Amino acid sequence: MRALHWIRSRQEMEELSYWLSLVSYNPKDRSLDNRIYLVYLLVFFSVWWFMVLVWFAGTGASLLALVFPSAILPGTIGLELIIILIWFLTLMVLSLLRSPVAFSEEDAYLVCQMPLKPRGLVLRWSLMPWVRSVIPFLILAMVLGFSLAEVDLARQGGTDPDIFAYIVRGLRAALAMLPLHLAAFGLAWANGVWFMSRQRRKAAGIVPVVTIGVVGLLILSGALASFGAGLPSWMAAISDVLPAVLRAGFTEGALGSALRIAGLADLVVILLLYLSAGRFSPSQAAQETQSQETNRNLRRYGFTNRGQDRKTQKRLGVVRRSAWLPRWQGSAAAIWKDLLQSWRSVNLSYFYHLLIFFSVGLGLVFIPSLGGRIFLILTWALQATRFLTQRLKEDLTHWALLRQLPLKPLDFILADLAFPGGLLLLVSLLGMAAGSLLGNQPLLSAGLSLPGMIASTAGVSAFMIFRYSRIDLLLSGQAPSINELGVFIAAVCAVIPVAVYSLLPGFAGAIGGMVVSILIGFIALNAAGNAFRHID
Amino acid sequence: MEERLLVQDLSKRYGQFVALAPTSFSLKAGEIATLSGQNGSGKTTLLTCITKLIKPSSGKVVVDSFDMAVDELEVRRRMAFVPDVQRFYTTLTAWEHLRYVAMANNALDGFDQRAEMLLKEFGLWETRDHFPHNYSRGMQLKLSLTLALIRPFTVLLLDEPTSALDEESVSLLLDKVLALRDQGVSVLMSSHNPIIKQQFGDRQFLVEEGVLREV
Repeated sequence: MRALHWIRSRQEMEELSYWLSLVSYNPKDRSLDNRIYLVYLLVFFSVWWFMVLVWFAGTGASLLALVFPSAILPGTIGLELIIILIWFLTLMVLSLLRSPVAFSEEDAYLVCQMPLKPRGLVLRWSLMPWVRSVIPFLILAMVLGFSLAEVDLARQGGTDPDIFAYIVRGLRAALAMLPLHLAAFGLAWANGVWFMSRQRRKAAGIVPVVTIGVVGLLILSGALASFGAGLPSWMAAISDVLPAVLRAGFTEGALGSALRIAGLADLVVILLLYLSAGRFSPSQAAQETQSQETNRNLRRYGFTNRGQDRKTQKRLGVVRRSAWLPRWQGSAAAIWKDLLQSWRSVNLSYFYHLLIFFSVGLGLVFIPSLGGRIFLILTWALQATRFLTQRLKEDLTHWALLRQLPLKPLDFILADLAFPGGLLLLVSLLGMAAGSLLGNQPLLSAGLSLPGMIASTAGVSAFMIFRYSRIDLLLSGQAPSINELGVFIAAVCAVIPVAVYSLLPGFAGAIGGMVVSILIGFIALNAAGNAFRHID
Repeated sequence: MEERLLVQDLSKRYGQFVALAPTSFSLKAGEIATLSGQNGSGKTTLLTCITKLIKPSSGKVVVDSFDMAVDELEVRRRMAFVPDVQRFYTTLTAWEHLRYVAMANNALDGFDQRAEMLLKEFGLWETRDHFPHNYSRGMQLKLSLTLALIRPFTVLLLDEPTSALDEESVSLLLDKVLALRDQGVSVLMSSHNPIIKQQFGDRQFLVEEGVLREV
């Protein structure tokens, strides 16, 4: 167990180091400077978080007063319980579908091969996921606590608040949330582990079903009672169990006794988790979770493409018969490949991009001021640079295959950008047509400049990616993403034609914008072709 | 015999480190050369410099009188390379990989028959509609070989092509290479396989600490 504790502590330390690295703090650095920096971070982020939560609380107070005008406190408790219910049900379902105890690939080779006592393993492995899970609930509870304090202040006529009492309101609310969350979390884990240990047989399903029924009823009855709904007497009898704990956190009530009762419930739940883990199989859990855990780690450490690849591989399965095999030759092969790849990797983010392009197209026609249009173009450039170069980047990661194709760099770049560029043009034109209809504005100027704007954005994006590509990394499957400078240059190139047609009146502006956009697009694409030749 | 591949003063440096000292040699049509040397001696560097997958620090590569620096596309049309580890597209099946390479090389005439023959020979026909990431290491290497063989070429470079192959596949590959020699194709192949190193090919090269010499 000592070895296990040591491994897990290191993992927890790594996780902590990852989050601290976001604020440039290295926990391994024992220098005085670093310690002073830690104190600074603690003070800065305590104040910063407090300000953010107070800002949220201001909005929260207005919303609570609007939604629950006559019973703000019960309404808030009901709302909190509904959120807990939704989360609990989701966690229960996920825990029943696959092991709640997740192991990475490294764990699978190391931990799961060791003769460890499963109960200790489950308990030790539950700590970090619980901490990760409870933080949003603590923030929610604090915001609601501050919101209620804001409501009380408003009722008292906006007198100067006692800042200490104000902070205590938030902390009390968070403290009351803590044991409730732990109980729900522990129950979901205990059920998940128990069900998995019984090979998810139907007969074993009775326990989780009963748990969902009992806990669900307990939370739901509390929420309904808080909203003032009439309940049957048997339900009314249990309806105040959970609201009483939360109420003690939100008011000046007896928080201590509420916490003692909730703490007892937590001990029972932890005991249940301990008992349920007797037949827990780490190797089975690893089989069920290592892929998901590895993807999470890849995403976290910036290997989003590799994580996405793994997800796509899983979704596509093993076999796929080609339905469309055209007789295109030369660089058109890249268009066929891109169409096939795009079709097979369509996901929600793809539609999100298209929605953005439609909205920007709509806005470009609809919004008359140049300032407003520049803002839109910035949004557009941010999305378009990534959307247009997705396939290009992927091709670069297959350097050995790509570099052997007898294609001129510019032909290949154009072929690779053809499909996303065409789609972007089509969707943006549709947006512009909608804007034209809604705003009764002419489509001509924006529509004529759009192809050149797309070409320049694509050219700049491709140029920047080639410029920052390194062959040794490409050979190991890593291509750079477009950086902030690239997005900025692409945005500037796209803004120029918009400025031309916005400032020059009528037909001259439309033609001027189009000519300028095509010229910039031509230069950018040729520069990209040249940069491709010089990747080193 | 005509000169198929000419390598002249080809070198690769990383700062002060010389990965490949200035190297010159040529291969005639139908000539097979093997390349041996310890791990890290510079075999892969030489092959990837010839194919310009990495940029050489100096030197030139000429294939069928076409200089890589001047007529890169003509050289690419004539040179096929099988890397030691190939990366495949996640969303394309093995068959689609073959078709993509054939399309890009304008080699679709008779593609179906050629692809079927190659895949059957390498035992990949039944799994042609599989995504290559589900293949074993050996199968991936076989697919990599078929990707090179599906298109026309006059020079074939192979980087440790036998490293993950079973004995049957190795002898099939060697038969293929001999058949290509009869068609006038020049082959340069690196390998740690002792039979290939000692008994196969018309010429043997050894790379030691970035220096190539004929043995």
